[in-house]
Amino acid sequence: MKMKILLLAIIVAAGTGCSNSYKTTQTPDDVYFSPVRALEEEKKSESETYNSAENREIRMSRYDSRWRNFNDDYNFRYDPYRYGYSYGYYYNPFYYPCPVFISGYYPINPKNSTPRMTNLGSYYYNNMQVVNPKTGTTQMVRSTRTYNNSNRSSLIRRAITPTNDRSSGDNDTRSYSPSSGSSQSSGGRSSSGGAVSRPGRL
Amino acid sequence: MKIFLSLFLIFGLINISQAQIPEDAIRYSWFPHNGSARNMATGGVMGSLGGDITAAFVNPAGIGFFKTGEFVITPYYLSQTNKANYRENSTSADQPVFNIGPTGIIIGSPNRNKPKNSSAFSIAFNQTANFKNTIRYRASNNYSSFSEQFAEEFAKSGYSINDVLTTNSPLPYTSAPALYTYLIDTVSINGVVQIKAAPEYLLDSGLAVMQDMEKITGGGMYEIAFAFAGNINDKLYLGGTLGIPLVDFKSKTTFTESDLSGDTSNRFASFTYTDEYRSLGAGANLKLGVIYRPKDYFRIGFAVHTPSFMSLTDTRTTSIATQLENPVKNYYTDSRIFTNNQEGESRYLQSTPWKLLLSASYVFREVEDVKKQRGFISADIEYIQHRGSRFSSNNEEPTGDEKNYYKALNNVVKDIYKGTFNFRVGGELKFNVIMARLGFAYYGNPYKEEAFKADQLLLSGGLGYRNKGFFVDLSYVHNTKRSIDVPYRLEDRANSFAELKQKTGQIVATVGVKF
Repeated sequence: MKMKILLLAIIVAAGTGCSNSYKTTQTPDDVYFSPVRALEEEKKSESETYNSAENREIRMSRYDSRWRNFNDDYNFRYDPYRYGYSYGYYYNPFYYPCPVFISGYYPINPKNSTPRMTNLGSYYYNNMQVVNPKTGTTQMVRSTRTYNNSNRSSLIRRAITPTNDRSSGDNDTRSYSPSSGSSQSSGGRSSSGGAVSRPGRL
Repeated sequence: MKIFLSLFLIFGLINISQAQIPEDAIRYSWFPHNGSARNMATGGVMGSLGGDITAAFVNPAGIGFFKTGEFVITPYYLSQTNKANYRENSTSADQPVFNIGPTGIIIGSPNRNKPKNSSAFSIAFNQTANFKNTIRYRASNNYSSFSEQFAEEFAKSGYSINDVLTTNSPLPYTSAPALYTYLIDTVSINGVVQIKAAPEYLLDSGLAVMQDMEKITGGGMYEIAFAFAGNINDKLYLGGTLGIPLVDFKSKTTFTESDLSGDTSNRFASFTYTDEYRSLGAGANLKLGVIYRPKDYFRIGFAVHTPSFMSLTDTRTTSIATQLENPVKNYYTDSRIFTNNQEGESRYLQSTPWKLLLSASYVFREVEDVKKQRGFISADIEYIQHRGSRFSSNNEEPTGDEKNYYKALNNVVKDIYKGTFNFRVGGELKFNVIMARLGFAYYGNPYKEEAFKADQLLLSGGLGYRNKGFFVDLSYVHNTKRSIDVPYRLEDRANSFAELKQKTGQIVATVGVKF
């Protein structure tokens, strides 16, 4: 939000700083036609030209050679990064003769980076093999998913128990069968943290 | 150089963000675009019209029409009402929103030697999508429980209870707090140990649970657009936009399930699950476009938007409070004890779908004298392949589980979404300095599932005044949106979903100065 306000302030400043040259003429509508503005004469006054920064620098360099060297890329004496305690000293850790010690550093507890997951199996559709009665060819057709949006629905809840018919496809999906002797599932993640004890259940 | 410095500052100041369930895919692709008041009043048409700052976000070739300069600011206010129908029970919620639409500056530079050639540059900011919303629904359910998703997830995971109940858990937001509060637990049935959720005891005995859902979302998707366009002989306009999308999405979901039977011996009284997360991030995209004027008054346009490649970071905390019976006891925990006593944080990359746009306009009297300008009519057809969103991990050391999850997530996105055509039509009548506008837009259903009815219909109108170097436009947009919300998904049972109907009234104002 702060960034938005800052951005808005910059844009408002830019907008209000511009002069409005259409107060006395027709205001153009760029959807229909965008006119070329009248060429503005940009003659600078003589005093402005005389006082430009570049000209001042040239005038000064006539009298003192230091100003001539100011923008000279080949003058190697001008080196703000030169190491030393003389003029132009700049801190450079690569030249520091002693080991750098940063005080107050403590290892940070690593953040848990588990993605915000959902059971993706609940999104999949089963494809059914259907035979075209006219041509006799088979093709895979996406099956229709059933939804239960009413308490009066014909779909009856079945308790999921291990004794249900396993051929139905929805049986026994909630058995507790952790991978033996391992704290990993398929391919991956190990529990690196300490144990958390559950409160007692009477 | 200043632009690159700005980009560096933006990326440096803003955290990176990500999205991680299939529903996140269309959050950043299925929304009507936000334009200036003039653009919104005419249905959002901007594929071939040009001459408006909105072009930087739709077809940047339209910026090429500017030979003058312009500064605009677009505040807007919207009020939305949601009606949800969940298991034959209706609930409503209201939400007012105030924000900023396209705001920025355009500088046109005519070629002094060839007056019919010109170029233009613009910098603009826009809230491209608003996420502020409140959804509530409530109904009794005799078929399934929200908590069964935790039982299903834990049973399928292959983890032991000790694996999950750790300070750095692999299932810290769902199964871990559910196990800790005994919302789900192991039970021996016919000699086999099963995972069972406490509300299932009611449902298995033929009773129903009362379900209350509240989802409050906030934030938005914003974009900074740097657009450049060239005009060749007032015939051909070519443009490009470098877009910097910024994402700030906040969500708090509270789901309560309770036993209304009055029976205190059926093991379950109630539970409340809260899920609070924030996605923050930034990215980049390109928009390229062309507009051609085969003859006076006619314009045809084409634009392509590349995916927004975004780097996102989610921070998340969940909690569960469970009240059990027989014996009566209350349990509570939040996910932080399973995420090293701090919020969990995951980083991911998300790309949005490609977008193609075709458009035509008829502009009556493209002449300099504004008194002779009469109006325009324009139409856009837009195609978005919603199944084109992709996700991948951006964590420093993604685990095998994470990689597999993102791969499966991309397959699900491809399987459940489809491409849609969006249509926009609008026109303006101009009476010297006063303008009147009308528009219409339709955004198609992104879901492949036939049972999920979703679309958006926008009707709009507005007035404009342009004189003495400034202009003011005022518009009203009425959006009727149908969509769905699936509160939880189960693999081994039929799912329920809420049908949502949202009505939004939006007032948009644009104030601009010509220079």
